[in-house]
Amino acid sequence: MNERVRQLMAQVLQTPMESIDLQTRQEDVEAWDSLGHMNLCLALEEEFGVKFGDHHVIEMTDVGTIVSTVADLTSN
Amino acid sequence: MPTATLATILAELARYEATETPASPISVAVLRNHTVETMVPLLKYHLFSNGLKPTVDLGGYDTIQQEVLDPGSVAYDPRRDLIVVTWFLDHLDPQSRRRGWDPAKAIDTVDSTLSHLCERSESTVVASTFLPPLHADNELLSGSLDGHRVDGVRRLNDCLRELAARHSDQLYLVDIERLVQRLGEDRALDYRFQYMNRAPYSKDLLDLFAQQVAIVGRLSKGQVKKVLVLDCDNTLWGGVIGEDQLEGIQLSAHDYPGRCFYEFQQSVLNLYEQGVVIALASKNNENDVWEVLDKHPECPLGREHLATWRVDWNDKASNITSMASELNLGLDSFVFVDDSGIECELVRQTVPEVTVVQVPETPYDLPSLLPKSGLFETLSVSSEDSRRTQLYRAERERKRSQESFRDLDGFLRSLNLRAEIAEATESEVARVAQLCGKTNQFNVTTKRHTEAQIRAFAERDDAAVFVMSAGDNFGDLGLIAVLIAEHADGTGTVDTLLMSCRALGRQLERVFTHHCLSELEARWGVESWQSSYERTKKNALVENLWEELGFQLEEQSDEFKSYSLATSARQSPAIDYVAVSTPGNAVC
Repeated sequence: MNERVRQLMAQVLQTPMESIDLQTRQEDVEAWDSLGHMNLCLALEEEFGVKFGDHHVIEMTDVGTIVSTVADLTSN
Repeated sequence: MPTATLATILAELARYEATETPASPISVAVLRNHTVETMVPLLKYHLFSNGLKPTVDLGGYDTIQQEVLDPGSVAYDPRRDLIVVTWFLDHLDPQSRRRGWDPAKAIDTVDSTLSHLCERSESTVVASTFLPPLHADNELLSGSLDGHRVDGVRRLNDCLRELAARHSDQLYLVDIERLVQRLGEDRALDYRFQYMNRAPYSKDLLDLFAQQVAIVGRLSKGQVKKVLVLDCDNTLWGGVIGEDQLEGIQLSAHDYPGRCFYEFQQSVLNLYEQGVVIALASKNNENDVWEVLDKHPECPLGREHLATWRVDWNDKASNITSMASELNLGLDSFVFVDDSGIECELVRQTVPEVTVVQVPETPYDLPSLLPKSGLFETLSVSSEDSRRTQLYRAERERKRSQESFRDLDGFLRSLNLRAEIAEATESEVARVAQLCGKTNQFNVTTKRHTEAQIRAFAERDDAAVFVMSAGDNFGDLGLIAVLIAEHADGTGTVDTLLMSCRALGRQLERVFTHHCLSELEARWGVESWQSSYERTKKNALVENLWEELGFQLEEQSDEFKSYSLATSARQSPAIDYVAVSTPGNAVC
């Protein structure tokens, strides 16, 4: 799961995968602005077959939260 | 209808961008009043897959009017090929959500903005239509009540349609409402991001939008599909004619699955009527295939619709190649449809220029296969189009007859060639633009003039647009050649000289050029001519045309050759087997 999330983030945000870990936050990645965030949410939804609510979209401002949100939604 | 995921498209796009391609470049600007950033990679991806090499620039958020008014804006980059304009109604007029909304202000903005853009820019413009509210009060009256919000949006879209009709060679519409119909509300619209990011259109909707823009892009670059090559067994009908016999194959207006094949054939006939050249490539006994086409009571397609065919046991790649040379058309204008994965793969690998479409395993997806592919979309429909297969059939007869003559001169004499040469009339401008747009081989400068540009040449006193229509014993070739010239300071310059490939091999180009230049010499009193050859991947055919016409080479590089010729030194071609007429009814 971590790997898939990091890989997807690298692709959508056009940034090397090595620069992304669970602690990486939105302000650490240049392309992770509000529009990058929207594309990231869309790509995550497609990749994992989940649907985020608005609170998820707002809260997922670091990689750790993204991974745990996706894990929560896929386990239900 | 699954679409590729964003991640997949980004990966494919990265692969395209890393590969050196000889594709022609296309430069696109997107002006918008809503968030469409997600569309940029989708658009690039679809432009790449249409054989182009794109750059895409995005205008600022909600600055459409400013950018259209500012000559220095992203819209007016001199290399710009295509400008996309997309408005979301809620952002254009926030009152549009209110009961009793009056669309007059929005109509005025749209009308003046797009009119201004079309007048200022020579680029092709694509505008998206407005999406009527999917949920409104008085839903039951939405179809009938004047002044209903839905009615207001309809009027706004009518305004767009009028604009598109007024700028028919420049402005094209993407019908957002139809795209939403295809996807359904849940897939097409993302209310979350509409309110969080001002991005109302889902990635899937933007993907369909981008596909249509990419098709306009391909067509505006003159890359047109002209020929549809069809397999027979399990493509035109279900089953194998050689085994199942006439009564056993599946082809019927009433039964499943025969009806799927019947409707597929109807979609082929629609393309025939639009001017697409229809051909067969089938591994069969020829007589078996004719039995179906001639005798099957419910077979819409007939022999008369075919320009040519290869029904034999040779490999289909060679057969397609030989049809391309027979028809004088580039392989990249061919689309091949077959149910066999092996045949499709063979053609893909051997003649990669050909677009290959495999018949789906589900027969019920066959009737929509060709319209959905967008391969045969066109930017305009001219009356020449619908006659094209007839023209190619006549060409086929001519070739047969040519084989029975020992020398070319005798053959040409026997044709009773006639040519009508005159300045282009208003009704011919669309055809001239079409020829400029898609003539690749016999085209010395390959300038892709639009209708507006051609009209401008024709209206100038110091320029002229000549056309030639030709015919012979076998039939009319139609309007097949264009020459555009202008003059200044005693020197005439040939801007464009092109001829449709179906008129090759008859020396008509010599007759045409001579006639046009003589007429212009008398009219303008020019003392010399200048001309040029600009090399493209496809016009090697006319590499030495100007030399053959007696012009002197002045300068030469890999890409370009320029020529000149004193009018006093110009000689008339010794061709006496073409009857030239010059009706004096030019209008513009």
